[in-house]
Amino acid sequence: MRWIWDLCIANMKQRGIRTGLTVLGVVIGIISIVSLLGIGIGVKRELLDAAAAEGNVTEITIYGTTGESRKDKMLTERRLEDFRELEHVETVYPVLSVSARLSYGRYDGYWEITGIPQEYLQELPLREGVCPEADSYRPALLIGNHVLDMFYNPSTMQSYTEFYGEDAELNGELMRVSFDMAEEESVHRLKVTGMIKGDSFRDSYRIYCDMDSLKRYLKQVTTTGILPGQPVNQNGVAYNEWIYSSAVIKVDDIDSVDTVLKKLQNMGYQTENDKEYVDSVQKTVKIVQLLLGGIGMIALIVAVIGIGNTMTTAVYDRIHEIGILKVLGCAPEELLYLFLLESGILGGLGGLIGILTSYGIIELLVNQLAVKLMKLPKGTELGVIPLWLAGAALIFAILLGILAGFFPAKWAAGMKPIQAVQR
Amino acid sequence: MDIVTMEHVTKVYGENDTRVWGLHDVSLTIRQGEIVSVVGASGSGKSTLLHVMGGVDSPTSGTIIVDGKDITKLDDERMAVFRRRKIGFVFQAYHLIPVLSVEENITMPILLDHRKPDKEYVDHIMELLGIQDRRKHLPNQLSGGQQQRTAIARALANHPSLILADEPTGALDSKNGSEVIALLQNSVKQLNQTLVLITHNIDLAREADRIIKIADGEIMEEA
Repeated sequence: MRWIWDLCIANMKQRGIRTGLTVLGVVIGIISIVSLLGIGIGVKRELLDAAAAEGNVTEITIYGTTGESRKDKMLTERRLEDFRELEHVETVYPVLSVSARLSYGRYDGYWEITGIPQEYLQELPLREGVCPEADSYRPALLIGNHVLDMFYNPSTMQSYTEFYGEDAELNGELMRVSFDMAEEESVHRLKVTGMIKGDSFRDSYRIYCDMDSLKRYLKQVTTTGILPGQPVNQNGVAYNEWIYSSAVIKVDDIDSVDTVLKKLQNMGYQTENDKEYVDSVQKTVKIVQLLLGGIGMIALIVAVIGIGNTMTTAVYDRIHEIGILKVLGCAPEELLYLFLLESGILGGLGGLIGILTSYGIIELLVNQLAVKLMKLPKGTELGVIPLWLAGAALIFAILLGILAGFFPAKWAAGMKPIQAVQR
Repeated sequence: MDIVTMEHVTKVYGENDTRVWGLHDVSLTIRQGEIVSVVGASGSGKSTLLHVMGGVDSPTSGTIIVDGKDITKLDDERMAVFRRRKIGFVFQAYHLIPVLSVEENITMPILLDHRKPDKEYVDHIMELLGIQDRRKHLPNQLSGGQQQRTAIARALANHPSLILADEPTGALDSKNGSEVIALLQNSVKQLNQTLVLITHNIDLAREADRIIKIADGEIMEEA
C-alpha cells in the first residue's frame, strides 16, 4: 500500500498552499482547545495546590464574635475547652491577631500580627532565619514570604520586593510597629527573626509571633488598660480574660471533618475549612474548564469544516485523476483509503503543530508573560499541558480529519471510471 | 484462441426521449495476438466499444468475455482487479497522473496490484519507448509525444493480455504518431499481446491485421 502513501504525499506537496491553509485551520483549532484546557488544568492545579498547602484539610478554623450581644460566642479559654471535649477533635489552639501599622525604612504596611502558641509556631517551615523564642520581652516576628510584597513606599508606590527583589529579607532587622489604638500612637521596635517558606497560601501573607510574648507585651505597653485588638463591653471596659480572634481545631480523620464542621456551625460559629475550599475550588474550576473548552471546541469545529471543505474541493479537482486510477484498476476501497489517509494526515499534521505551538504559548505567554503581568509568584504554572491531553488532542485531530474527509472520499470511491476520466 | 468475445452487446445512454444508442447489438471476436483497428466517424460508438471491452463502462445488455471471463458479471471490486491485471489502456489525452514522475506513472498499475515492480522490465520498456532519461520528470515537463510514450509504457507495464488504444496518435504530429504506433505494434508482437486500436488515420489502420468499421453503434464491415 506504499503507493497510496506516496501518491498522498505527492498530492499534498503539489497543492502546497491549500494543504498549508487547511493544516493552519486545524492548528488554530487545536491551539485554542489545547491551550484553553491547559490553562484550565494549570489554574486548577495551582488552586488545589494552594488549598492543599494551606494546611491540612483536617484543620478547621473557627471564628468567634467580639460583640457584647453574642458574648457566649466569644472565643475564650473555656470555650476552647468545650471544643476539645467534642468527639473527633484532636487538638485545639487559639489564635490572637492584632492589627498594626508596620514600617521598615520608607516602606509601610497595614497588617495583623498573629500570635500562636510556641509549639505550633515551631512547626512552621522556614525559608530563612530562626523561629522567635518563647518568653522574650518583646515579641519577635516571623514574616510570611509574601508580606514584603505588600509593603509600599507611599511616595513611589513601589513595593519592597519590587525594589529589593524577591530574595529581600529582614532577618535581625527592627520593624517599627504601632498597634491600632485610638488613644495613642506609640511606636514599638520589633525584631524580625525569620521568614516562612512559601508553601502555604495562608502563611505566606501572615506575620506570626509567640502568643505568650505577645500577650505579655500588649499588657506592658498599654496605658489605658485596654489591650489592642481586644473587645470591650458596652461600658467600654475590657473583659477580664483573653478573647481570641480565632482558633484552629484539628480533627482526627478527614471523614470526620464534615461531622465536626456541622457540629460547630450548629453551635453558632463561623467556620472555615480547606475541604470546603477545595470543594468550591473544584466547582469553580469545572465551570472555567467547561467554558474554556467550549470556546476551543467552536474553533475546532470551524477547523473541521475547513478540512471537509478542502477534501471536497480536492475530490472535485481530482475527479480526472480518480478516473485514471480507476481505469488503471484501483479498487473503490483503496481510493477510499487514499482520501481518508490524506485527510487523516492533514488532521494529524495540524494536530501535531498545534500541540507544539500550544506548549510554546502556554510556556511563554501564560506561564511567563501573564504570570509576570499578574504579579503572581515566579514559577506559578497557570497553564499545564499534560501528556494525556497532548496525546488525546492528536488522536482527536486525526479522527476529525478522517471524519471530515469521509463523505468526499466515499463519493470519490463510488464514481464510475469512464465518467470520471472524461471530466 | 479468442481473447475477446462480445455477443449482442447494447449500450444505451439516457432514458425515454433522451435515449441515445451507443452500441446496437454488437457481436465480434478478437483472437489472441491480433492487431485490430477500429475506424468510424465521431460519435459512431468506437470509444464506447473500447470502454465496455475494457470494463470501464458497463453494457446495457449482452455478454462480453475477455480472456475467458464474463466481465459483465463482475462487481466493482473484481472489475478493478480484472482491469489492472488484464487490460492496458492508452488514451488520446494521455491521462497521466500529474503529481507523479514518469517512472511512478509507469509502475502505478503494478503497485495497484500489490506487486513489486520488476525494475529490469520497467527499464526495458522505458528504453524501448525512448523515455529512460525522462524517468524523474513530471508529465507537464514532457512533450506530447513523450507523454504518450509514457502512457504506452504504463499500459505495457503489467503484461496485460489486451491493450486498448483510443486514438493514441490524435494529439501528435504525423511523424510522432507513426513512431508511437510502430512502438505499440512492435511491443505487442514481441510480447504476444493483443491490440485494439481506434484511429482516424486510414494509413495507420491499414497496418493492422484486421479493420472493423463502425457506424451508428453497429459494425458495418470487417476486413
